[in-house]
Amino acid sequence: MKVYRWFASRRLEKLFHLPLSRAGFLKLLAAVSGLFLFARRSGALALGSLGKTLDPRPARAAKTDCQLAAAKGENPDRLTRRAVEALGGIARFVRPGDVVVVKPNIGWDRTPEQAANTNPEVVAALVSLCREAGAKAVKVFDNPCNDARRTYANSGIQEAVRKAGGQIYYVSDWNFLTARFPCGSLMDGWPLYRDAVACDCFINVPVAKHHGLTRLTLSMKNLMGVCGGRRGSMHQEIDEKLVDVTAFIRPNLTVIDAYRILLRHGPTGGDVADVEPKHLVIASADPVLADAYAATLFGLEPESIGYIRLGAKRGLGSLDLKTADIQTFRV
Amino acid sequence: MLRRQAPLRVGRRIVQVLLFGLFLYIIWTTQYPLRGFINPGFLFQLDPLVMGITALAERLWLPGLLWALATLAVTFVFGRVFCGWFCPLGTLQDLVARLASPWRKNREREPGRGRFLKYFLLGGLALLAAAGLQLAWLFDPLAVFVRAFSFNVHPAVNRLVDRAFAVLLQSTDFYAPLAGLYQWLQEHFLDISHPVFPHASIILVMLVLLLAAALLRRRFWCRYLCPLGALLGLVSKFARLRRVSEACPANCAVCRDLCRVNAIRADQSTLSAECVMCFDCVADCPGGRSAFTFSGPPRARAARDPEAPGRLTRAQFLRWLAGVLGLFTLGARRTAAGTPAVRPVLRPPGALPEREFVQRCVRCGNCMKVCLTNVLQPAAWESGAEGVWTPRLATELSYCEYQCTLCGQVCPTGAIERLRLQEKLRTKMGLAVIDRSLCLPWSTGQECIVCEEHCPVSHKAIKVERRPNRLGQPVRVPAVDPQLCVGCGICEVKCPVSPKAIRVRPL
Repeated sequence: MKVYRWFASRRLEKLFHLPLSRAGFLKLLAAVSGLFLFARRSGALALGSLGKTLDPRPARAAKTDCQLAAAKGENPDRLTRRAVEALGGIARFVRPGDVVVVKPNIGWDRTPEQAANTNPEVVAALVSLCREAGAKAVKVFDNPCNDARRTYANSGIQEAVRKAGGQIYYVSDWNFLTARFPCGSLMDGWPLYRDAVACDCFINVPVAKHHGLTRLTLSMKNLMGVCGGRRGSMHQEIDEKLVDVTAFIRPNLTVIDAYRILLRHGPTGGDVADVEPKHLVIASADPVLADAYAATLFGLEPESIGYIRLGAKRGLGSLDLKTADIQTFRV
Repeated sequence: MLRRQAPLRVGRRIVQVLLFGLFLYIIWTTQYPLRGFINPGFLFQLDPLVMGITALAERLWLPGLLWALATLAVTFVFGRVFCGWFCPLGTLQDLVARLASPWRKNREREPGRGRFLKYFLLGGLALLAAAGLQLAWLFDPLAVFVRAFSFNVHPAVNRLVDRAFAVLLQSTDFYAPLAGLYQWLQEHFLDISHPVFPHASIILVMLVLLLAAALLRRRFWCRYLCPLGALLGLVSKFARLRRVSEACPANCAVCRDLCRVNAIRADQSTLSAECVMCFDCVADCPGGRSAFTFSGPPRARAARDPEAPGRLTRAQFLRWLAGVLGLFTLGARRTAAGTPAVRPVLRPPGALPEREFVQRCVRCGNCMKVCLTNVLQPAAWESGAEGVWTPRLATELSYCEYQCTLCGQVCPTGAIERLRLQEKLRTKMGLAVIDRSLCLPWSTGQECIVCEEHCPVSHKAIKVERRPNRLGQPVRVPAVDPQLCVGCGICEVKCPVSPKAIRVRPL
């Protein structure tokens, strides 16, 4: 009782009969709301929703000597260099001082022999080509399906890129920003990786392999690796969404690693019996054409792959292999 | 006049700080790719309490027991240096007590009988172990410390650094250098999977309470509660290295007040079982009248005076014993009466059979700390009272990385077997089951099969077939092959619908 009386007499009185002038009240109000706004802003910052958005990458036309180059041979490094050279050389795509993103498939905890990830030698060759062309920075990353530490290490890509002088790093959830897709797109508002959009040159380096849903994983499917969010929800009407992402990123150069291709049980694979050595590297500035050509390696008609068909229809490229200027080389 | 031995304390302080740092380094680096040069499991193999009690409860020889015996041998020669120099919980209590030293007067009385509590605790643990129930995990100081570190401190530090960088990187224009630093940190320091342990705060509470007690009374835990200290005390009673003191005419009692574990009596004699070899008493004795020596006089036996303070009468002893035994019998009845687990839970790959597993597991948290995907979580009551804080495969949160064998590599007692990669790939943890009323293709005809896409088994434990679904629409639908499914749970985690249309069930 005593305690209660003391409490009631001292504390409550002080709380509720606070002598406060109007000016004092206004100052207090201003201070409290300022604090509230500051906290909200800091909270928003901490949660990574600053309201920053991404716009589609601008197009940067590059004239190439042929539409598609395919090099066949034993050494992935030399194949890559030959194929890019046939298009007119890396300088057509990478200018001195450019920030370049090389986006391989590092999605799975698999070794190069299992052909679930891009061949590390192909990636390394592209990184060194970009360095030779005077790129300021060559960034390599993927948003993998398995644990990033294991996929980066076991794919061999981490080590290969470091040796070639590129930066390879893990993606962070807070660096995915809301992308502003054209109105009506199913992908509108989807988070994309900031570095993949904020670059001068984007080189897409997928591995060609089987996929249960889309039949094949090629360059357009590889762009799922720059998407964040719950990517499982991209698998409904996936072809349309992949075309939207491709149109957003507009890869300057597509190099498809078909050195080893995975014929069954993709996209994860794991059994080398499912892998066929094709010893081929395909390069093109046209992602649809590159995918169409790679589809034929599996004995499939390009039209039978949904996103290739849709990509051509949307004008991202051509799937007509008969009229395209395609050059093949043996290295 | 005895020889001044002040350097002993300097040495102890240096070693204590270094070992504490080493300890933290080892637990921090308990993450992929395990580059620490000392296996974190080894820390617990040095611990005679967890190893001894576990071996007793399981009635088998654990390989780690050799190290535990080595600790006992060291204790026999040098006394409780494990407690005074190595134990991280001891060091932490010392640090905390030091922080509070300006406000706390160290006045010690004659050693009281509270110190016997820890022996009763030890006795109780040993009795229960003899009855087949291993409870050392609850009271072991290393486990208490490592658990709190791995479940609370490490995730918090990790999250804070990550968030701080996120804010800096998004709100400043130093993107390139900051991103470079961040990437370096990710490479060498941060855990990129951002571990979270949702129900683990109670573990921190235990540590905080313990440290709060150390604020009031130095080494509170070591004095009264630590069963490991009791075990080492039983050995150090006969330790070769012991404190001797000359007759002290001033009887200033400085040494007694200095002693952090209250091991010095008013007559300057020492309780070897309590002494943790901190050497404060030799370093700060104004007269330089005490020293540690290997050739001291044999242990002076205190007169058997039942009225002497700090001695237990037979009646008191019996009452204590009855109390402790009664308590533990209650506990034993609850757990050993064969109460089946509430429901079977998913266990880490290579875990022993359930009943054996919960006895062998010392809840050190190493497996959960090292787990790449943060799928291993301390169980609450999922597997009954016996299974509290044992690792559980929380597939509702994450999945088990198919080719990862880290958890078995850091287990100190072999509760999780050290699997070779080829064994791990065939180890079944559970079985994925599809709920056709939730699954998109089955229930709505929409394309999906994300589960099949992620299935890591090389020939796909989830098979896809184009066939009519529930509505009769022809669509590619998934089906689990129970022969191939290992229950890793990646299908459950990646399933785009909520609640999940595919879930891993215990076998």
